[in-house]
Amino acid sequence: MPNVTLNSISFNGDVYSNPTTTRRAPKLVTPKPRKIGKAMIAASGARTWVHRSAKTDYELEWENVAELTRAAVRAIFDLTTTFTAVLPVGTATYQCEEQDYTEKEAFTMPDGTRYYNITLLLRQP
Amino acid sequence: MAVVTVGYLVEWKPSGVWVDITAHIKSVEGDLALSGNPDNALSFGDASDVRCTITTVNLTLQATAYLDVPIRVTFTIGAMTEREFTGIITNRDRDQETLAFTCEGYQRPIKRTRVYSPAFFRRPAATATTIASIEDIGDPGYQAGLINYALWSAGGRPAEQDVTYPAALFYYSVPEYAILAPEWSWLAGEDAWEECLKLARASGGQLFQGADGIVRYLQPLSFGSGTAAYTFDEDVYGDLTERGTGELVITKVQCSYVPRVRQALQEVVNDTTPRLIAAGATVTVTLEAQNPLASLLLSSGTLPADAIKATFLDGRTPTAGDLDVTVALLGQQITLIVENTTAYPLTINAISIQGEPIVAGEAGTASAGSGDTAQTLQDNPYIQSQAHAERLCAMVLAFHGTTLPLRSATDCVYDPERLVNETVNLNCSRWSLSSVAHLIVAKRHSETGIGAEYDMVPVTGLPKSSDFFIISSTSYTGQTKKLGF
Repeated sequence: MPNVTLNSISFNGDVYSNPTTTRRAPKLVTPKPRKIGKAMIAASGARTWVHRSAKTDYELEWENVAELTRAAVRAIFDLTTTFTAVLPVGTATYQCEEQDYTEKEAFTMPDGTRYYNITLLLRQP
Repeated sequence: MAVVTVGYLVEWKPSGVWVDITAHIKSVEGDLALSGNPDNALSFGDASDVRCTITTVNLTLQATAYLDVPIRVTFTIGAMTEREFTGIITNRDRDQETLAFTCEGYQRPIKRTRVYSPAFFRRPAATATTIASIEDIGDPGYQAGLINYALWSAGGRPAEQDVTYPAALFYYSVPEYAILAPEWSWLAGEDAWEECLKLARASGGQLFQGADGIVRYLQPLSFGSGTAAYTFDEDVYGDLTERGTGELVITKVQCSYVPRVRQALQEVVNDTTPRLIAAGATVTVTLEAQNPLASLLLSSGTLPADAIKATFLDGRTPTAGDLDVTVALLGQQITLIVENTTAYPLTINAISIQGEPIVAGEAGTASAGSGDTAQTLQDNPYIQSQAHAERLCAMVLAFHGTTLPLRSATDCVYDPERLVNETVNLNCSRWSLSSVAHLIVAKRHSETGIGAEYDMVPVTGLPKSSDFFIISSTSYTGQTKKLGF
């Protein structure tokens, strides 16, 4: 469970942390590298990759997190600007777009406390 | 090349300096052609277009006035960087997210220039521009052609002298003299670009703007004179198509001509408009003769004393020195700057000017070739003798008497070094083409410098400069060449 900081908000809790006071670290931080360009295929079949640039997005996944963490992640998604993220790979600027946030209810405790599974995609601008 | 890295730079100049607006560019697409005639890529004097559409998501740019703002696009592919478009913004569309600038070449400011010129006698329509050629129309030693005159008047400066004129609106270049010259040529306030195209048609040349923004006049013998340094083959293009032009093959060319004759001295302007000139005041009088004028009757550099009939308001007749008249002649236009040097107002009652008009004679027709498949050239005021008409007909027949298919190489990786008017080799195993020389006559780029399409025409067998004796400083020994068309 790698610790991350998104827009100066720390997500560094583990399973032993108090879920009402400590935001949980994501279970997984998965890089999603992408190349921007186009493959041009000649009549002979020769391929040319016309390369513009390369970017890496990161998908963060949380499992069974409480409302505190859920709300904090949702607030990152709701940002209308880019923000700084400190990830295990390093610090960089990211942004969230359109449908980069997913939330599913994992289970509900007998006292009504809900726990969620969340994903957040951080896109490199 | 299996992997190439591309980049682009878009700049505009709304206020005197180039500003980088590359950030937030969504797309750049455009095209450039040697000739605007889609049926005949090597036709003479057909207007060609250079266009570009630039779309940006930077809505802050909408606060800047865009009309006629210079804009340019540079593409980089691998280690090569080339300017792909230079022109001006002519329109802007926008929606909630994007601005789309429609851009054109420098035809637009040239078209809006109305030029008057002196009448030139037997001067090539376009003269070669060099680092030392006199292109300034105000220079007493001016001997350049009328196309040079028009382009200079529109704000252009010779590309070979760009160091001398770093802030020119645009640059023009004439690598070789036009090979035909009208008897008389002049500009009388018409659309400068259309007049340049008429001159190009009359001399068998082509006028176009390259991607670098330079407006060039090409004489037709240069089309087949290039040496190919690049080959298009199946590793370069995704597809190759050909549009046959069999219907354009002609066996006979016809052309009309209207001689222009310099006539003897006679009255060319008789203006009876009364004009009041206050004491000590100066008025400018612009008169237009019916025909262009080779010269005016002057006395000591000004009009003869009896050319202007004037009276003071008290009825006295002005004497020598009361009126100071400066005369300027540009083709059909006579400009008089008249100063009343006395302390009394006077009225000009009549102006009668004598000169040598260049008058149209009896029209005639010339032709070259024979047969039923004939092409009649468009009437042109700059075709003024039977010899000129015959030579032009022979030239058109030489270029269009055989089929010149238009071949399009599509789905190519954009190559900034491939230029319109470049000679290349073309290979196509299915069509049994191997290293056949072609001239690139059009180029279209898309996806912001990723893809390109090229139109080309085979030039093997076309007349070229090396087929002819060129009258200059070259010495020919033991060679057989043609004297001309």
